[in-house]
Amino acid sequence: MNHSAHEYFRHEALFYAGEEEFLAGTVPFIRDAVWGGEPVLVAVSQSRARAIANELNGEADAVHFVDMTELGRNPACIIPAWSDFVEAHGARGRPLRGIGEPIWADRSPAELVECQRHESLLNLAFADTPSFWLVCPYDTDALESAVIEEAQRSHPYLSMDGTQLESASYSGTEFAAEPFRAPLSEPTGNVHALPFDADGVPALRELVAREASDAGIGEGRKNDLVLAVSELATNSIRYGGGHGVLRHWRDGEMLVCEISDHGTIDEPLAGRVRPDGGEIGGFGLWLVNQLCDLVQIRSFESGNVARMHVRVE
Amino acid sequence: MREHGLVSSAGGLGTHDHACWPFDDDQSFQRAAVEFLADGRRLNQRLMYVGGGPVEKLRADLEPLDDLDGLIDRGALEVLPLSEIYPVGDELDPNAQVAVYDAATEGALAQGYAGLRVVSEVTALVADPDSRTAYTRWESAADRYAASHPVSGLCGYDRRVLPDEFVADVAALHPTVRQTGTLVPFRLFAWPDGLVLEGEVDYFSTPALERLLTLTVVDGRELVLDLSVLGFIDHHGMLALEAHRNRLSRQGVDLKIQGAPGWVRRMCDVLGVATL
Repeated sequence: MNHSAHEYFRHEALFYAGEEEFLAGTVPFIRDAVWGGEPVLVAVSQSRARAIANELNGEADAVHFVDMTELGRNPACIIPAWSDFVEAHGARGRPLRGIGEPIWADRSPAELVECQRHESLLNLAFADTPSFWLVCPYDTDALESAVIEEAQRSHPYLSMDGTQLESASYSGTEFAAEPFRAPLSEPTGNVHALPFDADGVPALRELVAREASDAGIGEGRKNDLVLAVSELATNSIRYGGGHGVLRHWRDGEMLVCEISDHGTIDEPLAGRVRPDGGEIGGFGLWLVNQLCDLVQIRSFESGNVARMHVRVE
Repeated sequence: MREHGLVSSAGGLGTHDHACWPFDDDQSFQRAAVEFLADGRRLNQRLMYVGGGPVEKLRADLEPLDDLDGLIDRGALEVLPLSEIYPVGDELDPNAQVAVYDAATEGALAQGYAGLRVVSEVTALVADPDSRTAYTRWESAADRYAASHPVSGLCGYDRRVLPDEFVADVAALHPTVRQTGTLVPFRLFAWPDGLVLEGEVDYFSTPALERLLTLTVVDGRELVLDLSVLGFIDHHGMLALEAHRNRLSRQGVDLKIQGAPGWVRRMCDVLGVATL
């Protein structure tokens, strides 16, 4: 494998089958980084991290590990973690490496779509970051072929069986920058809808608090969800046409609250960039991503839809 | 902690309580005043009723109070026109006004009372829009004084005369507020060590919070703001508190935010607002 110095953001999908190939694809890459003095962050499951650390022996001390099942529970939180890593270690274009495996076999269909959106947005988020080489392992044994095909579209570089090549089907940063319009499945079961305007936000909070309590969600998570719904309803009033609709329902282990309005999201990375006060609604989307277990944000022609999922304990 | 929140009755308020009583009809205010004073009598507080209009009319307001004449004759109840207590026509100085009530409180204690209980119907005092900012500061100073002295107060505001926004603002500086009409959804009141923020603060009420924070009285080098009974705050409100902390810091005052519930601390972590 050629791990030569890189002078641009290299976003690479690593296709592997089984742990042996996983380690063969990742450990030399990490070892090169350690020997070259390049900071490296490995965001994978804890069991994968243990396997890597075993192979690396003492060299693992120089490697930053983060549990992807925790960090990437809401895939919209992964880009901020990479941004923090780049900011902390990438001064003056210092070469950086990362391994991030956001997609695993038992991701729910809704999570999978958000992970794929995340992979696509990485190309945009780090387009101007020099010398950052990010490898995303995909388990070809465990994942469906459609997932592998999508990885080829979201990664400009591919790596398999020790060879690296450019992806012929890479869809580019322009694609990532377009409004995200992946369809949302229509909820089943009991769906409750409540239209709201500026006067109705306190009532929304009351309703969501009650629903969360009834669902058995604990005090802390209940308040997180109430805050998330309040923030997005406020955005609807300020930027989404002055009113919106809240819908809520149970989806398996999740309580889902959805806010729809007539707004549009012009900034594809909204909610994934730490706000500094300048962005429209930037704090709201940022908070919501950080507070919920899964967030699905769409900017359809008819307006914005945001679904917030909180796990029922 | 002092009684706080929205109430529908003026009864049952204790030694340090401070209630705002906006009203649309004289009878409802009279009823509240009588109820509030009757409680004060049971608590052995010296009673004071201050209001606009002639003393005879004020006295008539209190007719339903048991043994009204006896109370007045014994000095257990004073009925006074506003001009006896407040500098009607001049700008109100919060510190000077605190001194007036402090003297009255000390006097009551010296005579063996457990403290002072004041009903003030102040509409006439704030009829002039220019008087209202100073008056709002005074309400904050009065609340601060009552938090640590044996004084309780019921403040009447006639909503037929005063604009809703002013009444809503001034009401928010009382721990207890009559549930009525247009109000801001939070209260910013005093406790012996500082201020308490109670109720709900969101984008829509953040401008009122910003306004009222600048009108609260700060003395000393440290101010503690307690959030332990706060029902809700969004990032707009939290950033307003942070901005106020920075403003006070430039004036050499250290604002310490304490008692924030877990979800507020989590929001602050996410926002990058310094530890609470």
